[in-house]
Amino acid sequence: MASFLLEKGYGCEVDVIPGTTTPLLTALGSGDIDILMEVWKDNFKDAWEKFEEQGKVIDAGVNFPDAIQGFYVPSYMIHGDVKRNIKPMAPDLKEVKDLIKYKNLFTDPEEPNKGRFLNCILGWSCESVNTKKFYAYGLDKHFTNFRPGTGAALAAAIASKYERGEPFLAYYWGPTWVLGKYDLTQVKEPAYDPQIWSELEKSERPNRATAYPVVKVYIGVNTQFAEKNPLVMDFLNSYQTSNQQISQALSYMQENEERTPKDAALNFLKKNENIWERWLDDEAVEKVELALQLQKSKKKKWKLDIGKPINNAVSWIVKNYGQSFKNASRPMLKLIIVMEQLFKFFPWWGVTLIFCLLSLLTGHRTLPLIIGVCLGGIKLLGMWSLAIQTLSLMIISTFIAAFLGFILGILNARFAQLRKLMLPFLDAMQTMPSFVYLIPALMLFGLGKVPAVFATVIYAIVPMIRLTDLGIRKVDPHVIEAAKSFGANYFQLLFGVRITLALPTIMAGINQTTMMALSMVVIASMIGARGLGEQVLLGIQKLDVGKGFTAGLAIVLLAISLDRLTQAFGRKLDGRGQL
Amino acid sequence: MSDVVFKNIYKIFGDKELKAMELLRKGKTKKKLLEDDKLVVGINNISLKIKNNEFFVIMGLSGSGKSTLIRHLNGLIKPTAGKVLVDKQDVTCLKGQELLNFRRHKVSMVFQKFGLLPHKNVLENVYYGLKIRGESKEECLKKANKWIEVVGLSGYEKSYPAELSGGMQQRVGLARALATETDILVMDEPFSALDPLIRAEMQNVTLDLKEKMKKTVIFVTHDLDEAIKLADRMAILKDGELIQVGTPSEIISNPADEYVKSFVGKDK
Repeated sequence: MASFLLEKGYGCEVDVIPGTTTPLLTALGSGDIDILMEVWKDNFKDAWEKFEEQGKVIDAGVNFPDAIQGFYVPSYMIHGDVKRNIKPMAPDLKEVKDLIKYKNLFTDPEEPNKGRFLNCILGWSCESVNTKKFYAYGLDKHFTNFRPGTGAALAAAIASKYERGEPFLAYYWGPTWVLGKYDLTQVKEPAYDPQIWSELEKSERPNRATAYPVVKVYIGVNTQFAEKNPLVMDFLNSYQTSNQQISQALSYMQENEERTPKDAALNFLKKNENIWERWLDDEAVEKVELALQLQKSKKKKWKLDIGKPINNAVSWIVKNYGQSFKNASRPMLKLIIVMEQLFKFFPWWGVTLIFCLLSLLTGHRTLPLIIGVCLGGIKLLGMWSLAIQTLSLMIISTFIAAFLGFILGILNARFAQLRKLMLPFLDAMQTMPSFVYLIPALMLFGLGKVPAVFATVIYAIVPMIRLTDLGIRKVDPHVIEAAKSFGANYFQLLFGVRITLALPTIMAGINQTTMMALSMVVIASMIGARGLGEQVLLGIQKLDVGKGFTAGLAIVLLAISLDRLTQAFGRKLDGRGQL
Repeated sequence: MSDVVFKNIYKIFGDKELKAMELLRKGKTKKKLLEDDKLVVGINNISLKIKNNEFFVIMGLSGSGKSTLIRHLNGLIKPTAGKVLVDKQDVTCLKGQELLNFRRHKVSMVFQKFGLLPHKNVLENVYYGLKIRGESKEECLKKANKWIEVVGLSGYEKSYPAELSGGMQQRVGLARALATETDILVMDEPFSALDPLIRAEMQNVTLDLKEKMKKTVIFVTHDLDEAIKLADRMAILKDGELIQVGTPSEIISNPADEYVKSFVGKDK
C-alpha cells in the first residue's frame, strides 16, 4: 500500500523486499533499505534501541497501534446473527470470569463435563502463557486445554465452527486473516499490568494474570534517508492503519489464492479514500486518484483450477451436513473413550499380562517375553498413559480399516473391473500427503480423536484391501475347481475355501494395516489426537530433542509388540494351511 | 443308470467365440483361426456316447482336449456349441441351483493335482462333498469312515494332506469322490502325478473298485498301458478332434490312422 502511494503520489521508485525481522533491521541501519513498514519494537527492543542510539534509524510513527492477542469467541454468541438465524447464546459473556457460567456451551465431546478451550499451537510460548492464565483465572477446572498441533489446524477448527454457527472459545492473534474474515469478540481480561505480567512469566502457577499487552507496531526509517526526504517523512508520519484494517486486507487475500498483496492494497485504497487522503498532500492525492482509476483489472490466465471447487465443496458440506457428521461421529467418540477407560481400568501390568497371555495363544515361546519387555519399557519411560491413548485410537482405527478393507478386498478379487477402478484411488490414498485430508477431516468432525480415526482409516486400509484381494486371487485354482466340482455354491467357496486359504495373506494385511495405523495415529496428533504423537510434536516444536526421542522410543516399543503379535498369529494360520 | 452323450461339442477359447463358430462351420481351418483371429479351438465337433456302468477311457497327448472335454460333463466348462446329455437331460442348460444339485448328486470328480483342501484333515476332506450338500454330521462321518477304509487310509483320518505322500493324497481324492456315491465318476489323469510303482498300485485299487461298484466311470489318461489295463472302451483324441473309439483290442488290432498307430506301435 505504502509503495503504491509513494510511487503514484510522489513519483518515487520503490523496491519491495520481504524478509524476517533481524536481517531487515540490520539492513535498515546500514542504509541498504530505507523504510521498514513493520517494526515490532517490543519484540526486538535491544536491537532497535541500539540502532536508534547510534543515530542510524528513527521511527516515523506508528503503523498500527493495536497488534493484539487474546481469547476470542464468535460475536454471534453474544449478539446473535439475524441473517443466519443464530440466537444469542451467551448475551452476558464479557469477561473471562463469565466463561465458567457458559462452559456448557463449549462442551468438549471427549470430556463432556468440561468446556473446550482451543489454545495456541503446541509448543509456542503463547501456549504456556495461556495455560498459566487459565490456572490463574481458575478456568482450568472447567475447561480442557486443547492444543492444536499446527496453525492450520487451529484456523481450520475456527473456520469450520464459524461456518456452522457453533460456539467456541479460542486463542488468536492479529493482524491475521482469521480476525479479518470472522467477526470475533475478545473476552475481556483484567487490563494489562506490567507488574502482573512479569510475575506471570516467571511463575509456573501464578495466582493472578493480566491481558496480553497491546503492541504498537512502528514504521522504521533510515536516518539519512529521512533527512533527505522530508516529504516522504511527512507521509510516513501520517500513515496509520489498524489491526482490523490489516486483518481485513489479509483476509481479502486469503479468500482467493490468486490475489496478490498488490491486489489487496488496491482494494483497500479504492474503498477507503477517506483514510488515506489524510496521509498525503493535496497534489499527491489527485495523482493517486488518477492512478487508481487507470488500474486495469488483471487478465485471467487459464489454468486447471481444482482448488476452488474443492474448497467450495468442502465448505458446502461443512455448512449443510457438518452437524450430521458430528452426530454420526458421536458413537465413534464414545467407543474410543470406552476403550481408553477400559485400558485405564487395569494397571499397566494388567494390560501387559493380557497382551502376554494373548501372545501365548500363538504358541510362540519367546513372544510373551518380548511383549512384556516392550510394554514394561514404555511404563519405565513414563509414557504409559499416553501410550494407552495412542493404543486405543490405533486399535479402533485398525479394526475399522481391517473390516472395511476385508470387504473391499473380497469385492476387488471378485470384480476385476472394480479393481481396475480402485487402483488409482488406492495409490492416491497411500501417497497423498496425509495433511491434505487431515484438515478436511478436521473440518467435518471437529478437532480431536474422531477425525484422527477417519484419517488413519483412509491411510491404513490400503494394504488390507490389496492383500485380501491378492490372497484370495492366488488361492490354488485346482482346489477351487475341486470344490466347485462337488457343487460348492458361491458362499461355500468364498468362506470355506477362498478366504480360509487366503488367511495367512490376509493376516499379513492386518499386520501392515496395524503398523500403518500406528504411524498415522502419531501424525494425527497434529489435529489433536493426543497420545504419544503429541509428545513427539511438542519435542519438535520446542527443539526438545530428548522429549521427542523418548516418545519416539515408546512408539517403537509399541510397534514392535504389535508387529510381533500380529505376525505370530499370521504364522500360526500359515502353519495350519501348509501342513 | 446313467448314459452320457456328448453331442457335437465345440469349444473355442477367446472373446469372439460365436463368430469363430461361424467361421469354423464355414470351413475355416483351426490353424487359420489361430493365425488370423487369435482364437484357439479346444474341442472341434466331438460326439461320444458312453454307456451306463461302462469304464470309458479318454486318451490323448497333452493339448488334445481330453481334460477340456470331460469338464463339460459337470459344467465346469461351457461349450461354445453342442449338448451334453446325462439321462437325456442337457447339462449345458443347467443354471444356478440346478447345476449345483447336479454336481452334488450326479457327478463326482478326481483331479490330477488332487485338489485337496489343505486346511482340512483327511476325514474332513473325504466328507467335504457330503457336507456342502447338507448331510448330517453322523451321515458324513459314517460314509467318510467307510470310504476311507475302502481306499486303505484307515488310521490317517486326522492327518493333513501335506503330511501324506502323493499316492495317499490321491486315495483321499478318490475317497472324497466315492463318498458322494454319484452315478458318474470322472477321473482326470488321476495317477499321472504319481511314481510308476504307486501308479500301478492305484490302478489295481481302481480295478478292484470297478469290480465291486456299479458306476459309469470316465477316465482320462495319456498312458496307453493304463488305458488298456482299465478300459471297457476307449476314445483317442488329437488336437481337439475324435480320432477313434472302440475297445482296447479293437484299437490295437485296427488303428484308425498313423497317429493311433504310432501310439500302439510304440507300445508293442
